[in-house]
Amino acid sequence: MRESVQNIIDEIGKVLLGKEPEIKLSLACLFANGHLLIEDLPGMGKTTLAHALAKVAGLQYQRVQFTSDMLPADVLGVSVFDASANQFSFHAGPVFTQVLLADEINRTTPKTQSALLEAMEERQVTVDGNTRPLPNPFFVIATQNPQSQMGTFPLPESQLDRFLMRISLGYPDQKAELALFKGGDSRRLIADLKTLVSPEALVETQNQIAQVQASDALLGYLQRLVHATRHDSQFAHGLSPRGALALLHAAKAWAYMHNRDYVIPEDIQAVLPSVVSHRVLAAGVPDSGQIEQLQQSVDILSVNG
Amino acid sequence: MKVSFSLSVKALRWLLLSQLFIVAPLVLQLPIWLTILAFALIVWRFQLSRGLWYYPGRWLKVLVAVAVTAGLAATFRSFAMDAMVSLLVAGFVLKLTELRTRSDACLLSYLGYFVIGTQLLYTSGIIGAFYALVCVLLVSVTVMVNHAGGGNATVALRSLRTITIMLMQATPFMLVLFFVVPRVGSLWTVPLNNAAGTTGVSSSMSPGDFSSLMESSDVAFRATFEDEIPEPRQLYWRALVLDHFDGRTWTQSNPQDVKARGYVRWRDWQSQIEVSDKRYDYEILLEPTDENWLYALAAPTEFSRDVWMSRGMTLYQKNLVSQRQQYTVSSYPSYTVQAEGISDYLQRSSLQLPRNFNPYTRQLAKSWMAEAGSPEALIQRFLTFIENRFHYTLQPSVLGKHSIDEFLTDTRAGFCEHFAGSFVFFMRAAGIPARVVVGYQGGKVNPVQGYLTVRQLDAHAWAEVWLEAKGWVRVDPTFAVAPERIDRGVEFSLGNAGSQLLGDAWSRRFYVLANLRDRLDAFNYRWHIWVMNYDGEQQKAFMQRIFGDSAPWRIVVWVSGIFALIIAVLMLPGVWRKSRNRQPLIHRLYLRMCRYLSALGYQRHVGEGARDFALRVSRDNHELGALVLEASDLFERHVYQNQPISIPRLRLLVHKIKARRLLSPFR
Repeated sequence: MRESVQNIIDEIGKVLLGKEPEIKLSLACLFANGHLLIEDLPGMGKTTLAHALAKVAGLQYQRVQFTSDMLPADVLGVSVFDASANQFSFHAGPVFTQVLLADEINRTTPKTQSALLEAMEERQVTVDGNTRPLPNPFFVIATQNPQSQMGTFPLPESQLDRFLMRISLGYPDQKAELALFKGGDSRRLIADLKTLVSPEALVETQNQIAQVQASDALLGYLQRLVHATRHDSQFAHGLSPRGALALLHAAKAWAYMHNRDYVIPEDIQAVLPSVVSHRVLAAGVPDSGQIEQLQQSVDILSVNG
Repeated sequence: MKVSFSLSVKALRWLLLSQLFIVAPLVLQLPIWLTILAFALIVWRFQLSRGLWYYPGRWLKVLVAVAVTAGLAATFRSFAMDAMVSLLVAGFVLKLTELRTRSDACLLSYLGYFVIGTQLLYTSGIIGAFYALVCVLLVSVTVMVNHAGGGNATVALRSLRTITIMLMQATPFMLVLFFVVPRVGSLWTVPLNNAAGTTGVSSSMSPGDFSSLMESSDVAFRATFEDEIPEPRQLYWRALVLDHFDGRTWTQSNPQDVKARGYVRWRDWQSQIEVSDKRYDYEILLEPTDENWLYALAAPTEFSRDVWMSRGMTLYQKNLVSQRQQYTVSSYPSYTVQAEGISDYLQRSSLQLPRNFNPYTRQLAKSWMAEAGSPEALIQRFLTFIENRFHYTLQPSVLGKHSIDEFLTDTRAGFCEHFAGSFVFFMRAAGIPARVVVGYQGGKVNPVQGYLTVRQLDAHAWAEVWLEAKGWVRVDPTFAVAPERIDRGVEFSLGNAGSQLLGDAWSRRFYVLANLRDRLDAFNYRWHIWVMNYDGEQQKAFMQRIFGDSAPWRIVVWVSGIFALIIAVLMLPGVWRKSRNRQPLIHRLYLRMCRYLSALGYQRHVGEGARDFALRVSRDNHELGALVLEASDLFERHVYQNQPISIPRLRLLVHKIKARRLLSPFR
């Protein structure tokens, strides 16, 4: 699995040009068994990324375009009375899949949003008193437009916490864009992508990542980082214990991807902005260097061992 | 990375400062023109470093070098020590004219250590030793600053701190080595021709000699008595017997000639001296005199093996006293010497008088002798005569050809040499064998240490007459004129104005200064007894006392033990500090590496991981980066992977990085 990490990145890179760091982060998010929030303008390749990721990992893929008139049942599924069988049968919604692309999640009402977010957290769906587990692995890639746009329902902070990472893709650079123009249809290209991982292997990888070692010195550093977010007026909220654990887990996935079975501070730093920014900054406040500053101000080597 | 070999201004200034300190005490020994040249060169080099003056041309340099060599040859004409030291100093300062690179400065610093060594040829006091140590400190700082290529603003301060710590750490080792390293005699000797030893009692006495001596408060010698110190009246330190008078100057006639390579031993003194009553044992620490006679109280009976007795009952040795010297003597103040009679030869020489001098005195002596009848009565009459009519002064009138005639009839004022000289002349004229004895009289007890200090101003001359059945009897005519001179010291025998002429006038006026001088003197004395005087014999005794036996293996075991102990003690603060802050070793090694790297211009940011930092360094400097990468990898594996790593390897890497720091000009 480890050996194929670079292959996976390269494979996805064929369709999402010049975005290797973001591909790596999203892969880490997948490996860490967390969900990913991509915040960007339309047409930046969010869908392509989600699609490619699913294809390469050999996972089922569903896409839901959220709109303001959508109801929870449209996501989770609905029980319909089957006259022939004389009983209710459950029609699974699009959430019953391995990779769900929840497009423009902030366009829908809070009710529908929370239904999805609950499913993401619980990894199960309860409809009409019946609890149904979601497939494993289960990976949600939600996208949202920047909140300055009209007619959106911004996700509250408590729900942003459900996403392990928040990234934004941004415009491609000059070279990548030229290549993009020359290349063919991205949908056809995605179909040509090779499947490099099996779902079983992915689950196995997720289990292995939980085994990655974090030494006392590293946990000390993590603690100092977390402590700093709580005592810095730049941040609206301190990092919660859940946020801290998420950071550690993401760092473990990053370490695993770099062929190490132990975490080093650089792993934490690599995932820090994407894991932490949506948890500690007030909604709507962009990350304008605060996280970078945090990273630079916390000493990696503790003073007292 | 470019390494700069040119000399930094900062290092140069340190060098000049150390040179100034090193040459300063040698000035007394150098010819005056060389002193001026040395300081001129140092000032010139300083101005050059400010960019004000210029380097000399090649021909000028050659000219100066030749001129200095010729000057030295003309001044000394021999390969004595002073000439050698002057040559060394000349080279030491002339090198400044072509000092351009760092290695030049390094060489000159090392030469500086050698020149500091020559300082110790001229001084053996504790102040001199400490001064030399200060010079060593300065030169060492120069070496460090020079090595750093100037460096930043704090380099001098840091060097000073480092060198001070190093010197302090070296101290215990120095002490141990001082005590146990075998004393080897000098491999070669250079004749001394320094001027320091020319003061003191000389082998002749002519009018005016003593008054110049009395202007000096230099220490002649110090005496430590086993028990009590004899009364001042008994403290007649004999040096020489002068029994030949040529009308103006008293000298030794041949038999008692105490002179290097010309001395005559008194072989059967033991049968001719009878002693009784109390015995005094004492030890004398003699300052260098460049003469071969020694000082002792009358009737010395026991003395060191290399010391001999002359016919005048004075002590001498074969070699010149060219450095401080210590010897022990036992003396009996009550004695009779040659009571049975003296040889014809001795009698003749003790009655010798020059012809055609002092006719009045001769006549007077004969007539008084006839009137008095016995030598004792004559002596008494003479003493009464001078006691009533003469006075004691350090500024006597100048005397003409018939000096004693003039003194007895006309001027009637003088000091010891006049009184002793005229007394002996008078006695001889009256037919009584008599002789002049010169040396010191009295001394001052040091209140701190309890020893007796005898200074040049205590120089004295007195007389001895030979009486039937009594032998040689000491008569001090000065005592008749100025008894307080003998009882309390020369400073109490002169009026206020007169005592201003004495060498120590300034210190007597201020009690604090006098006290300070006593303390310093006591300190110096102890320094000499315990440090300078620690020779092979003492070492052996010391070893036997401490180690029980002076078998080599025992000493080796003990010394290794002591060294181990010292090292342990020196390391104790480090161990303590380590246990105090719980920073693990690996962290400390890593942080040390970071310090070295920051000296190389690579500052790790607080939030920068070891790997990122190493990669950053290696992008900039591949070679150094390889070391840092390996070290960081070890660090990482230990700290984050909890794997055992090779700490020696990490240490080695850190040391390699440190070594590169020393090579770098950017600090």
